[in-house]
Amino acid sequence: MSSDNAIETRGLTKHYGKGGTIKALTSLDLTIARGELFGFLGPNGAGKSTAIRTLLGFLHPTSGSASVLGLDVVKDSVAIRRRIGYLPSGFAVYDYMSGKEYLDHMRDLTGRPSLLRHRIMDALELSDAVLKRPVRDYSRGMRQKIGVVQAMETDPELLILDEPSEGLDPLMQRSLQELLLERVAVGRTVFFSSHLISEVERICNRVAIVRGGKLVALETVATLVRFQRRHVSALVTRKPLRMAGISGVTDLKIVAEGRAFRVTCDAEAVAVPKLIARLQSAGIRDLLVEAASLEEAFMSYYGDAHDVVTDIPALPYALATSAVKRAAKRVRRTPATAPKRAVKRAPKRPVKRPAKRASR
Amino acid sequence: MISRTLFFRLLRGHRVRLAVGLLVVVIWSLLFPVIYKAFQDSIAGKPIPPGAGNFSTLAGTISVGFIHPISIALFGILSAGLTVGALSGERQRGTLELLLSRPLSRRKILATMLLEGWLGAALVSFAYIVGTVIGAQIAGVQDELAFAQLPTLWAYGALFWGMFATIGIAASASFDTTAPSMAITVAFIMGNYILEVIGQFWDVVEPYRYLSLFNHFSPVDLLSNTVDASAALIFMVGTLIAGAWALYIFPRRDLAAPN
Repeated sequence: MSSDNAIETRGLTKHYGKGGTIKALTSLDLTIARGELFGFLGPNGAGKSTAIRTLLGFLHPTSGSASVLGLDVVKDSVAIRRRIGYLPSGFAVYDYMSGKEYLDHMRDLTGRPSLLRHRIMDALELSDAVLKRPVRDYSRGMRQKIGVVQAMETDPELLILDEPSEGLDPLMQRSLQELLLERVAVGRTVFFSSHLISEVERICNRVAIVRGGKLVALETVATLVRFQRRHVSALVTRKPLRMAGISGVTDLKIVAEGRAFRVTCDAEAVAVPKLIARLQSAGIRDLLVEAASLEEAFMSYYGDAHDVVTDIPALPYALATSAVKRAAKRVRRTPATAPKRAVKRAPKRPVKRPAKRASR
Repeated sequence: MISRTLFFRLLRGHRVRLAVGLLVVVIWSLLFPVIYKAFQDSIAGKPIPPGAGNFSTLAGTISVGFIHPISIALFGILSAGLTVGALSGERQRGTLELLLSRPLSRRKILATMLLEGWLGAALVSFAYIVGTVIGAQIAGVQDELAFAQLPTLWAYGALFWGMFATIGIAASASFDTTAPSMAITVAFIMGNYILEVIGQFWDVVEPYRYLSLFNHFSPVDLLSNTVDASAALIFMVGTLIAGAWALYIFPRRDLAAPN
């Protein structure tokens, strides 16, 4: 395995249970170069955390191999951990300590000086006064900030962050993203898992999508998005001809709107020029071509016609709702001959209003 | 071999338990020389169950105190009680993952946590002796106290309870939550204790008393300078078996795996 890569896995597999019945991770092949900001996407239970924990030596691989910073994850686990920063999902702390004591303790265990503590504290709006308070008094967001500080403060070569935005408000999420971009700009590598697709889309160079423990996509964000379908809506003066014959166009609808016609469809990227040419011949009065998002790319991997959409309830509510709507929409559109897809609805949740917090 | 940073953090986490527990042990143990003096005449010669001790001599009285159920509880809390939740407790609280993410080998983490248990065993044994000496001074029976034998008593006490601390860490390394590791360790200690106690009264069980580890820990013999080296060997073998299991199982376990 090359030492030029920050992370490299070859057929990395982790099965649990008697006889390996629970296939948490199956044959993961991944190469992450140094200096990359790499996103690892998938809903809960897809195998993201298992992959990370195997890279860190917490779990023993069932088969396959992996290296981190050119070192073998099984043989050189301690040496690897000397050079990385890690934030686990569902970060927990020793409640009897203050924030400062906790950070000092984790730094001392790492054995490296805290070069960036104040920079990160400023970015995440953590004051010294807050750090003096016992960790047990912290809100979830505050604890997460402490987690981010302990992972990043020693300026490690590689940052492995499992759901780093968990519990942070949108402003702090943005600050964290800027911090990560800053580290990458000075040559550090960031590998982070998330189920917040917008976050990954905003900052990552490349992204891997895992599903059921298997890698289903490994591309740059731009490439993933480029190959997604565009949503086209056009208002034309005459009824366009031969539209249905364009390859790569689906869900075509032509509806009269007064004297004009509203044309809506989904189109593959390669079909868009031909589609526009046909629309032009019908006299375009208004045209909207919506670019696909990473979320759509993600959902395309999580909603193909042959799979039961069982992962949806585990997704964040907004994403789950969107996934259910899309899946339901596809079921409506699917011809009677196509295989039927079972759709599991996300449970309805009441809208939670943030309770007013008394100032301490 | 051990992580000093982790060791001091563990001590800090248990400092209240240690401070209060050791104080209680000192107070508890100073009662026995006082009891010996106060009731010397009335209860002399009467065997007091359980254990290898009696109130007819100061050594016997101290011995009764050393293996009294309250002492067993105090010694257990301050030795095996420190290790039994060390690894499984971290796992249960969710703090183990970050601890494992630091550049510490699992064996180093285990050794550090075990050292805390042994320190507890050494301290609690020492606290008992300190209390005994103070009690002997208060009761005015210091002349009857075999001072020269006290270091031996301390060493055996520390070894005996250090063995249970090692059993505690072995159980802790084997489970994801504290409840089963606690249950196994407490059941092991209680099983040994009950076998020793019942064996004193019930002829059917008496031949099996030697199987109890408590049967080999006899403070009265230690204070009377009749040291049985085989007892120390038994405690060391117990420690080695439990320690070997912990060192074998902990590095091989999948930790921080999804529940």
